[in-house]
Amino acid sequence: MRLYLAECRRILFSLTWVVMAAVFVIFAVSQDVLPPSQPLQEPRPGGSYGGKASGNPDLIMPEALESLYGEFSANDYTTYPHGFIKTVRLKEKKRVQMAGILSELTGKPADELLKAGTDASSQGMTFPYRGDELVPDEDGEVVILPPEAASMSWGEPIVSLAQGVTWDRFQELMGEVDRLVGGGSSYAAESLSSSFGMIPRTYEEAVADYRLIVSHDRFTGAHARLFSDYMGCMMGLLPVFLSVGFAMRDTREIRPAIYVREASSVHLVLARFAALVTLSLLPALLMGAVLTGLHIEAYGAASVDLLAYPKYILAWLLPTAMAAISVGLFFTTLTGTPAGVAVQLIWWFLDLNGGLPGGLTGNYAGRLSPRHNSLGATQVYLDHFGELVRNRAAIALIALILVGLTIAVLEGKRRGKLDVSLPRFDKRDPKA
Amino acid sequence: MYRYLDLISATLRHSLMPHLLIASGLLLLLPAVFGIAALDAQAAAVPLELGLSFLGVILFSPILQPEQEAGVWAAVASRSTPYPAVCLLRALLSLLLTAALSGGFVLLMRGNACAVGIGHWFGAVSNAVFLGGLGLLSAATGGNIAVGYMVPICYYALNLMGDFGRFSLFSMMQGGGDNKLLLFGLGTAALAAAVGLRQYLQRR
Repeated sequence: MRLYLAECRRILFSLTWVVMAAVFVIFAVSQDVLPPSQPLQEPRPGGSYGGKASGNPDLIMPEALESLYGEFSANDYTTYPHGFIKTVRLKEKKRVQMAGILSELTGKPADELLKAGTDASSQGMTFPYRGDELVPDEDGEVVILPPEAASMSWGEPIVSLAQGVTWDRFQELMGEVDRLVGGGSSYAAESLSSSFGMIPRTYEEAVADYRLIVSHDRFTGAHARLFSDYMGCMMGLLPVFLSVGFAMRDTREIRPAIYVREASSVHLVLARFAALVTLSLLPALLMGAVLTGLHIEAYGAASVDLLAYPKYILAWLLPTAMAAISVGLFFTTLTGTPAGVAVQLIWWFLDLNGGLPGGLTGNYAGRLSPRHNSLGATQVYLDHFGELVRNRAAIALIALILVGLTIAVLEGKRRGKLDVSLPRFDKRDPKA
Repeated sequence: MYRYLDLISATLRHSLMPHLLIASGLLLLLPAVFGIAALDAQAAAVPLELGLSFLGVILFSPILQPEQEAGVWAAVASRSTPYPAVCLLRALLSLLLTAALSGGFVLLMRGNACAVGIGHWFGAVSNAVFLGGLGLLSAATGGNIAVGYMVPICYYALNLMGDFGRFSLFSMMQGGGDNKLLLFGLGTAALAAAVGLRQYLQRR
């Protein structure tokens, strides 16, 4: 306990912690989380309530097929494997495979589809030009006047779904398409509905969601969930600087003094780990306390859950902080360098952007920082609650495994059985 | 003259080589994360601004690191070669490497039918110098390398999720890019301030 408190004191009064806490606060303010931009209000009839993925095969299948055919014809597929645009052009072998998939979906022979190529230019909107739309402007240059709206017409789709293609088979084929283009496409199972099946939410659905917020979340739960979504974006990165900075303070001169101490490696590492976790969550807990006060003012003390923020911070953010800290501790203890920063930066970057195709709400599986970027959407949260619990447990387990490995590495170094050094690039004999 | 050539050789072998390897690793990783084929000018700025900006953090932030330990500083401070000259040489070396690595990547993108030009290259270098200068100034102020990495990466992360106007790292991606000279200037000023501050703090 004494060691834990000593570490807490060291961390709390360090420049690194102050900068980290400042960044958390700046980020919360910039995202309109501190203070919240507006209180939750009951939806009124006749408004706009956002959209939702319908999951309706009758809507999704024709739209997805139309899009796929367009990309096949141009041999130009837009994907977002890590959240950033990637243009994929298929080589001949994969193009033939794609034609086979389209053949099954449309009922047209694969050869015919391959020959059609970029001739499919009449897909979508057509504009019948008569010639008198080309007029000179006052500078003498020729400009094209837009045609009257009445003369515009949607072209007939070039392809339509073949008879007998079931929704299950359609999804299987779309999965194969996604694999052929390297992943991250709109045809992936988790993206199909949000890409091709969006419909507006109804007033009744919006009211039902609001009533769930009142009964289940008691207002602060919904706010705390959104707060955790935003804070998770930073919690997956910032604590690694804290852990690397403090692990690197054990310089070559100080290490022998630490190694000979009576305290076991388990005690040393766990005390430091616990202190880093505590101080990493402290800014979030303090902001949560402030926000609870603001919500009491907005909704009334009797209507809110006073412990919503601590519950969400401990359940939602704690495993993320543990993961970032354990990566920093492990790689710094192993190598004596800030390599943990690079490792965590890559994990954070890929998690932040790679999860975008899965949506920003209810996206919990396999995430370092689960996403729920909506104020409310309580039913989505409840529907995916099991997934969230499994995810948090898995991330916490990964963190604890890394802490265990850190203890093993430290013990090895203390006993002189483990010596990890970077390769040298000079000609001197390192043993001289 | 030979003294400075020795300095360059020693810097490359002792302190810069691991960072150069990490920077090269970044360049190998970028095509796997971002598409770099057949992109228009605006889309081509995405891997450059989002990825190559980290070259500055990798290559500039550790410039003052060798003298962080008191014993090493004492040995360096007693030499006749002025310490600012040593740091300037390291900074120029890092700048050359940043420019060369960025240039190579831009040429690779050009070979992959991306609409990139000298403006893209300068934009990537400017971002790197800005973040590198910010990191070096933070390391000099805080006295440790963790702060030197933390501040520029936090700046990057906050900018990724918010709008920084004239100080945005991602202006080319958004169709602009006329603030790159400003970022380059600020980065260079931060590098100079870091060296001066470090010398002042160490001599106190």
